[in-house]
Parts: sequence; structure tokens; C-alpha cells
Amino acid sequence: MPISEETVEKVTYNLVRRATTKIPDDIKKLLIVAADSKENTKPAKVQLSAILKGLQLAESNLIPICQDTGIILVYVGIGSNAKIIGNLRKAVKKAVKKATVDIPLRRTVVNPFTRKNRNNNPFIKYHFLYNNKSYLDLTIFARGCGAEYVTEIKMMDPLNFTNNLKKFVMSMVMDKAMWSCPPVIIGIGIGGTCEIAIELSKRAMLRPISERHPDKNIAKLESELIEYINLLQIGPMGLGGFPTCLNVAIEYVSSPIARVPVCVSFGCWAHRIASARIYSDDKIQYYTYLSTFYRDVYE
Amino acid sequence: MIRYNIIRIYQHFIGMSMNNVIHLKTPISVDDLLNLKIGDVTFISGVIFALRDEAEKRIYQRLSKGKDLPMDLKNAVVFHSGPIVKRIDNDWKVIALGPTTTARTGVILTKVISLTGIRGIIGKGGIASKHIKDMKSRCVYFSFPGGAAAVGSAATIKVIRRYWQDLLEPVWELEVKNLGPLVVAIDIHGNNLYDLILRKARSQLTRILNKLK
Repeated sequence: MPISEETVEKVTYNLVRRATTKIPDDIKKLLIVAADSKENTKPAKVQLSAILKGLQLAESNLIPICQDTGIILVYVGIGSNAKIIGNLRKAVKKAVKKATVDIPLRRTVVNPFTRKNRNNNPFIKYHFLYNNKSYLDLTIFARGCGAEYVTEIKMMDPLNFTNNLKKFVMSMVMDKAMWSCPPVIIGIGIGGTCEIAIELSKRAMLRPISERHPDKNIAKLESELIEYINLLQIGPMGLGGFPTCLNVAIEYVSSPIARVPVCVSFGCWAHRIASARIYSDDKIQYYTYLSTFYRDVYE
Repeated sequence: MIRYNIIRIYQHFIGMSMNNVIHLKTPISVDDLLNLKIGDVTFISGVIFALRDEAEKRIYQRLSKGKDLPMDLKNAVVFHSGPIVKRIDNDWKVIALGPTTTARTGVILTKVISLTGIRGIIGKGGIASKHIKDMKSRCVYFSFPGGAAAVGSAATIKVIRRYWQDLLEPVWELEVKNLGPLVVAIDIHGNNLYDLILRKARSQLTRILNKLK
């Protein structure tokens, strides 16, 4: 049985609601630990308690966590045997439009020249799964603008790469973390061509925060960066204390010999993601994290 | 090897001004602000104006041409925010009210402060340090936790008025009760909590980078 346009619309609608009104439990747990810690500073604890109170209010009243409900990124993964009837794109757009009115979301997307509002046109990214599966995967990532606009791309020298990468990330945190609602989540994409590195940095952020990279050296690098960044004590909202960073996730692919493309993306603590898998018999499974979007993307 | 010794690192922060919570009521005078120190936690009740950079630009343009403003910003509190507001029957309901990054407004903000007599700015991330001297003796900067927009809307009693609806995001005059927590990040004497935090971070960064060599 094929997957219907109506199902895609319904699931997308539910995912937008889920993503904008709730954050993943593992992130919430980290915030609770830091808020309760006796060693933390008062401004940090005040920020974290308010954040937790806000989360509770948003979840129980079904209202957005943040007034910047973000640019709605929709990742669509299509199994190579999946059959879909109707217009997938239309279904996704309709669902986001409806969610914008119902929840409601802020209409954050405008025409850059005329400044006219685009009524939350979502950005849809298709990705084909060559795995003989007949399901359809959907992930919503609501990107707050405060976090999005501090992104940096650099074509780095391969010499002394690891150390220079650490320096690059650290100095970015120093200069910009404060504007992207810390504690931040950092996604680092490395290799390929410029746009592949950018894409990887976003997908790295879709990985569960407790999951380290399968390559041991990269896992170690991630842990090291998390430790270093938290030593800076920039703290929640840049008012000192801890944590400054909740996670650093690195995704990499092969890189050209002469240069290493690196993209560092920041995410605010309000990590608004939600995923679902729609099977061909219309069975729907909801997830916080769905691996098809952060692993085996290229190569 | 750098050890993550939490207690050692936080000791000096715990010594920072740890006063009890302070309640402020609008309109706010300079006298009300003299005793506020960076790190103090405050809550504001009364009337606030929620607006974004485009509205601020218009305020500046009108004032610099000698035109009046439709709203009274003397001794007022401004919240840098583009809230989500829903029309329900004949009323407006604030669904989400949280801060936007202040750094974008820069020099216009300090001009607006001196032209209008705004006494409090609520936002996140602070103001570039080169502009802080223009705020001294005039205005306090409060930090509201980014993303805690449901806390902001819970503190909002009602929408009093909407101005300049032709803007992408208009100016909202709101009645609030105990809006906060607002951490004093830049006090009226020109002390800057962000600067303090970043100075410490920078020396820590130097230490870390030296180990990488």
C-alpha cells in the first residue's frame, strides 16, 4: 500500500508541533543537573530555572518554547522502494502553513529584497535512501535565527589540522556563543566540498547528544572540545557559570588534498527537532532522533 | 592536562553580588536604578514596550527629524522582542515573549536611549562595549533568558496598544506583572557583566591554546 499525501501532511503537522513546543529529554536532563548544582553561579542557576519553567509552561500549554520559532527545515528521506501518492511537497508545505496558524508560530521568513512575509515557507531537503526500504523518514529542525546567523565556513589548511580546528572552534565560541542562547549545541561538518561540509554540520546536530562519533579519535576530539568550551565559563546566556556547551558533534567525509572545508554551526539550548518514520501500511513511528539523517549521508 | 575542577573555578563567581530578588515598577527613574549592581536578579511590573530593530530605527528617524512619537518612552522599559501575538475575537493574546539579540541595534539604540529617556533595555547578549559609555547614568541593561518565552507570556497581563502595524513587526505596549528573571548585565554606572565573563574566558582560552601548541 502506498503512503498517502494526507498521512505525510498529518505527520509533518504533528512533528512541527512537537518540535516547537518540546525539547529532547536528554537535553532537558542536562539542564536540570546544571540548575540543581551547588557549584553553579547564581546568574546561571537563575537562567536555567527560568528555562526549565518555560519548558514546563510550553509543554503543558502547547505553546512554542521560544518566540523565534525558527526557519522550518524539513528533511525527507525516501526509501528506494517507497511509493507515495500525491504531492509530497504540497503536503509538507500545507502542514507547516496550518501549524503556523494553529500553534501559532511566528512568520519568520521574509523575501530578502522586499521584506514581504513568506508565511513560513518551509525549506525541504530531500534525501534518497538506497536501502530497499519502503518507508519514508521525516525530520523537522526548527532553526532559531540567533543560532543560525553565527555559522562560519572556513577552507582550512591541512597542516596541523586538528589543533587549528580546535582553535577555530574555541575562538568562535568566544566571539559568538553569547548571541546564540548558550548553553549551545555545536555541529561541525568537515570535508567534501563547501556545501557538503555545511550540510554535515547541520546533520551532526541531529545526532543524540550522548552519542559520540564511532571513530574513536573523533569521539575523543568531541569530548575534548566539550571540556575546553565549558572551561571558558561563558555560561547560560553569557552570564557566567556552566554549562556553556551541551554537545559538540563532528561529522566528516574525505576531503580534497589541498584544503579541508570546515563548517561550524551553532544551535541554541532550545534544540527543536522531531522525527517520524511512515511505513507503507501507514503505520507511523515517532522519534526524537532518527539515524538516517546523521549517518551515511555521503560516500 | 586540564582538569575540570568545578569547585575551584566557581569559587570566585559565588562571591559576586548575590542580593535577593529586586522588584521594579514602571515608570522607572534614574534613582531607582542607582543601587542595582551587575548580577542582581530583578522582576519588573507595569508597562513595557516590545519592539525590534526596525521599530527602533523608525523611532530614531522620527526623533532626529523633530517629529513626535505615538508612545511615551520617557522612563520606560523596552523589551527587544518580536513576540508571537494571536488575535482572539477583539483581543490580542501574547503567546510567546522572549528576547532577541540586542547587538544588532548598536549605535541607534544608544541614540534612542539618550533622545527618549528609556531607563531599561531587556534583551540578550548585551551591547557592544564601545556603546556602553553612552548608556552610563541613563539606562540599565537586563538579560532575559533566551528561549524562556512561555515565562515571558505568562507574566503578560494584556496588550495595551499596538503601534506601527505597517512594520514587519510592530511595537507592542504590554502590561506585565513580575516579568523576569531579569539579570542586571550592564548597570547604570557602566559595569558590564558580559565583559567580566569574557575577560575571564579569554584568559582561560589563552591557557587552553597554550596547551595545544
